[in-house]
Amino acid sequence: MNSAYIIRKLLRAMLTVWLVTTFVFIILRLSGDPTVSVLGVEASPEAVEAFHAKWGLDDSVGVQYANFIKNALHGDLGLSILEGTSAVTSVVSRLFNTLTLMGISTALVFTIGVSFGLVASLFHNTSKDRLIMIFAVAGYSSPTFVLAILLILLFSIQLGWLPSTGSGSWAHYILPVMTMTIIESAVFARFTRSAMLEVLYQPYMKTALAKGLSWKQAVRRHALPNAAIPVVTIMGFWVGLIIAGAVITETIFSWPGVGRLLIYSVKHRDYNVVQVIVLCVSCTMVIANFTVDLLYGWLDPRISIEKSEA
Amino acid sequence: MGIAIKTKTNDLLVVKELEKKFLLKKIKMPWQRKSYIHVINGIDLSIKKGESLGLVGESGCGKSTVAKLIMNIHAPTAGSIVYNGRELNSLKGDEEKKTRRNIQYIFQDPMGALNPRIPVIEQIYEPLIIHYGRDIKEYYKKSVSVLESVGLKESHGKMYPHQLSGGQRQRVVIARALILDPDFLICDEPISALDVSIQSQVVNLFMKIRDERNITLLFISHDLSMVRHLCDSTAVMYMGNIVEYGDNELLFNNPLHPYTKALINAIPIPDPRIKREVTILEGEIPSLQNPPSGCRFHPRCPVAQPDCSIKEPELTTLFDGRRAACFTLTQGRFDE
Amino acid sequence: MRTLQNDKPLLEIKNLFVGFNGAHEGKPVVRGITLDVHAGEILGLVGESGSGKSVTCYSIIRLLGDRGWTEGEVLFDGKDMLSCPEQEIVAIRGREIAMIFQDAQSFLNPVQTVGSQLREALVLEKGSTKSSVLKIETAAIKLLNEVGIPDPERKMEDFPHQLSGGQNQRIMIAIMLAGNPRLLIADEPTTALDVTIQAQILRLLKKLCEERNMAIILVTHDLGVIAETCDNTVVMYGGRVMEYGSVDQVLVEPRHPYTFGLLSSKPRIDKKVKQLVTIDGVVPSPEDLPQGCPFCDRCIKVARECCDISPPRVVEGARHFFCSNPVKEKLVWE
Repeated sequence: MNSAYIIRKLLRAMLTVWLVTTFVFIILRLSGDPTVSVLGVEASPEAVEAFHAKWGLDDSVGVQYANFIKNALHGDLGLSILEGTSAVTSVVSRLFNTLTLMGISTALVFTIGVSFGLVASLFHNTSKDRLIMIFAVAGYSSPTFVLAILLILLFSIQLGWLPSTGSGSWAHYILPVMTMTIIESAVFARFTRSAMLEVLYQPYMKTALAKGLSWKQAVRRHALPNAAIPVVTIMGFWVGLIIAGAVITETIFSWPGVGRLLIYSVKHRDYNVVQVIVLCVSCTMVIANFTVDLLYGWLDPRISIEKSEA
Repeated sequence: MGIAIKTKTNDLLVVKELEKKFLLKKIKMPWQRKSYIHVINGIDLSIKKGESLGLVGESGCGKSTVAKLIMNIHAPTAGSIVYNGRELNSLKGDEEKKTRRNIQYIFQDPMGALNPRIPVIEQIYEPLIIHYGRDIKEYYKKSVSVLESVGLKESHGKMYPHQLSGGQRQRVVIARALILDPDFLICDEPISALDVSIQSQVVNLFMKIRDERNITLLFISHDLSMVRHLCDSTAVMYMGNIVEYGDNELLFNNPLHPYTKALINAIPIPDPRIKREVTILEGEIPSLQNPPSGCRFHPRCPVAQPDCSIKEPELTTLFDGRRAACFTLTQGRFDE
Repeated sequence: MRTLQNDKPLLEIKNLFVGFNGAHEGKPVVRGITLDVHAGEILGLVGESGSGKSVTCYSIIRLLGDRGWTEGEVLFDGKDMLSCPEQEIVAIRGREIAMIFQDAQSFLNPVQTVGSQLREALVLEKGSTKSSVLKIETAAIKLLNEVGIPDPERKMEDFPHQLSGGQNQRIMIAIMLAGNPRLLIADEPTTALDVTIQAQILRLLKKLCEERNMAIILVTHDLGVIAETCDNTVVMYGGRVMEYGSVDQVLVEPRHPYTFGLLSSKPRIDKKVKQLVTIDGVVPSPEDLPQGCPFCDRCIKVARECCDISPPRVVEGARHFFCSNPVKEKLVWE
């Protein structure tokens, strides 16, 4: 790991963010405009013209893009077309709800997934392992929206224990968190298990035993740290998963977060809000992956200098 | 038999000043200089028609790279490879195809060389389809006869690679190399993956096909006893250079270069009554990224002189016809 | 040079059977091995792949875990290693019996410095109190000096991938010497190394054996290594002992056709022969071994009963072999 490596990574990250925003900018404008959503179907031609002039919708995509970049570089990401407030503000006002949902889920996924994965690997090929893996495969293969609807049917409609939509009390958290946790825990349990199994049969585990460590000591000192490396590397990928999960979950449970805002804004072509959210998501992804890269280099010292054809 | 360098007429393969460097793939800023490692450092070799040349040395000495350069798996950085009077790397199209099918290559891992999903006989005649077009019936017959000549039966041909033992798989690989009736065979560690009792079977097979078909052989191995047994002459490599090169009788009975001496001396002899004065070479092979100055062997050399760290010795022909690269030999200071 | 019959052995293996669990559970890979190791002795275990030599070694300190089963007795200082409780075997590993392996780099943890892996072994021995920290550091450096690692303070900060194969093997030896064991099992320790480095490692093992009066079981497939390093040798094939005895006898006048074949099929660096003798056929897999002598279908001296009944044990001087029709000819070199 050297400074050249870090600088290269940073440049590439910036390029990625720029490409994603540009791509979204063009696709959004090619797919329609917000006039109908804001003014309604029966708006007068004058109103439409005024609306177009106000938001610069008559300019070519190129001109619009140039303005967008110019303003963005000055720190101005525009107003929400639907709400009239700053686009950044409308995103930030919902950020807390999304972050708490994601935070709680992440903590739970980590604890549940990793511990079940560990148990399965340490009791490999026993009934414990098989039971955990049956649940893991079941969780793994059920789509978020199906699971969410099943949970609503069971806990809100049949039993009437929990609210199915909205936010406000702790009870509102339970179903969305469950939706996001069950599936991702299954993914993590499976992944942890295979990472551990890989490590447990590595030759250096034999060395650890041969020098006089007990099985428990050998697992704690040589298997767990080494199995952590692949688990850390999927964290970058995991951030993407949990964001996608949040978008679906928030929409189903009418959770007032950024995910639901994204769907709503895309539907009504609220260009600036979508743009802000996409910028946030792509920055998060890039930062997460960058952190994982650094962490990986720190955890695993085997950064080899490879030969290639001259 | 002396060294073939002077009599150019019946040389099948002549390698001259062959050089290969690899780019180090270290991540750097665009303005930083690229670094290279020199794997082959300008070597000369020549093999006469019908001769068997052994190329030996420890890991990282560049012996396998030489084979890959001849096979055009890597492109040489500099130097020439002349086969049958023609520069190999300048050949194009049909001419290249014709020449290339005379040179066949066998490497260490027979499992990796075979497709696990295809019966071996189809893999044996596949080169014929590539070179001469389709005539499966004819090719099948020919494959069976080649299979028999490497000591397998027709029934083995219908099997898949995993159904054969290691030795049988290597026989299949040899059969596939022989199907095009090559004149020249390059073998890169062809027996090191095999069990001891199987090695001798395969080596005897090599000797048989070589004599029957008058094949010229380049045999690359770290097993010096096998090379002594199988080859006519041997080149010893160390860190990309040839340090000693000569007829097997001379080289193994009376090695002159201090590295050859140490290398031969380090090979254990399965006879407890032989108590040799073993001079064990100290230290390890230095990194190719940071090779020693002067003679690359000088940090480990038991007879190194002060000069050795400054100047690089040339491969020079000695009194008995062999060639060696060592100042103690060329300046008449050796004590043999 | 030790003979087979003097003082009480350090390790006695009596009629050991080892098999793997799973599909071929009923087909053991080690089928009735009996051998002794004395203090200060280097015993060479030689054989090809599938001969059971490595599996025998692993089962001595029960490293096969739940993947295999064992039967018979492995007595170390009179204690049966196969039946004693797990804590006792943990206490013996590293302190009484240690083991080194073929490919040292993959047998070292890739993400820990070699120093921390060495210190870990020393902590087991000396405890991890504050006062022992300094002691461990000195002991680590002393061990690395003993195994011939130059500049040990700096090398301890390196990771295995930064060191050469030979250096990793030396580190491995140092780690295994930390508990001051009385028996070192060396499973093909030089197979992956270049010959000049092999010579250095073998010299080191011989030196350790003499200085520490440590016994070594050296597994190899190279009879040359046996001749230059070992006192006694066990030639194994198909999970059984073929010939066993002093190196001076077994390698000079082999009686078992397999030993004879092995010796004559490998060319020698110091001799020139016209044609190599070969052992025909293929190395058998443990699943399809015959009732009698496992070598019967490849043996040049095979007799009618060889495949059906186990060959007799014949004692001859300081060695014995299992063959009813032993070789009487001299080796080609003689």
